[in-house]
Amino acid sequence: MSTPGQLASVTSSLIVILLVIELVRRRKLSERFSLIWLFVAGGMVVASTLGFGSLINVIAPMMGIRYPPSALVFLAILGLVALCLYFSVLISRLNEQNRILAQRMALMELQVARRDDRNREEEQPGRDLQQPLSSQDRPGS
Amino acid sequence: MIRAPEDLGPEPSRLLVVVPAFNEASGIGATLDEIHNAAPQATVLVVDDGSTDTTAAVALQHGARVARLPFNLGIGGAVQTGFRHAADGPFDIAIQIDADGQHVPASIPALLQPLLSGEADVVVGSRFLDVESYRSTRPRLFGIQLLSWLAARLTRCRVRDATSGFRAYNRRAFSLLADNYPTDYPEAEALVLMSRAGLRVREVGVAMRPRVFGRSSIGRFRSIHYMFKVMFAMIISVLRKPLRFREDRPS
Repeated sequence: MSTPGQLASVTSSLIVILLVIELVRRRKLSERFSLIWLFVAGGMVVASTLGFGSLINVIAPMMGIRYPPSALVFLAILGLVALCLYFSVLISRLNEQNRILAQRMALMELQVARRDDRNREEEQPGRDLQQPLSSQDRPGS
Repeated sequence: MIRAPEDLGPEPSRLLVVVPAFNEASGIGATLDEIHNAAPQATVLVVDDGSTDTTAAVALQHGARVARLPFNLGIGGAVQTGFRHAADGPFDIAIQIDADGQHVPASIPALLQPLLSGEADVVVGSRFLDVESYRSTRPRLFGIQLLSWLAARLTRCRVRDATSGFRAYNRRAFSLLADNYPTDYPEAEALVLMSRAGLRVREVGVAMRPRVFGRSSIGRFRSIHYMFKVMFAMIISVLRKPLRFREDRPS
């Protein structure tokens, strides 16, 4: 049995699936994240074709919710919150890695600049060793 | 007073002074000169935290090493860069001091004393102990006292100026912090981390001045947000396992 409601949810899930596949094809989305979204959309298709509607009618009273569709909305929001939290964790990790990269790069640049200075001292032995180089003499500044 | 170079061993480069700087071109030159006068034997590293002005060039002209972060990491990320440099190099002691002139470099010997005598692993320069020192504005004082109180409740760490960023660390301490340092406003949280790791934290009186150049990195509304963030981070860090030293790890 297919109701207009089922049709709408299957259609929108398929659109999400196609969109995700297209984004991966254009390399805008990495496979890693595409799997999450394909899983979500796939879940929606399965739920709407297998009559998840009747299941929610059973679950909602168990949750103490009298109007079953609001139970559905509640569960959907819960899922989205979980997904957001997961992304926050990922962003935190990226931040951390980014910070370490920036620090290592700055120190490495300093090392290279000091090595260049030392090499220049050897080429120009007349130069005063204590005299700091002006910024124009430094590579990258 | 300490006779500096001999006390720090034969190598003149054993002391690293880390100066985090974000757009401090107008004030950093004077600060670097003062540091040089107070500790001529020291290697000075300015960590330019993504400045858009000529901070790096001024620092180079005043004889400092300059590590330029490609973008602004905030004070914690900048200071940690200094700890990494100290840990990578032959340094025994690292000092952290503000670029804006609030911390008086002439207090560096006082800061070094407990490290050189082996009484402490970390020395915090305090504006509240005997030395005549600028004591900050009233709301800020309240914040400092609140954070110091919280640090004392959470650990055995008794430091009255918990947010002071004028500090000295021995190798054991800065090596630990090189891999583990809080990011945004790290001073008070770092106290909890160090204290729980078993480092001996001491506090000595230092001179501080009202800022001459630039503006505080923390505005009024952000400082309330800051207080909550730091207190939350301090409490969370007590819920974690204490940091462990590398050499303590079973290989």
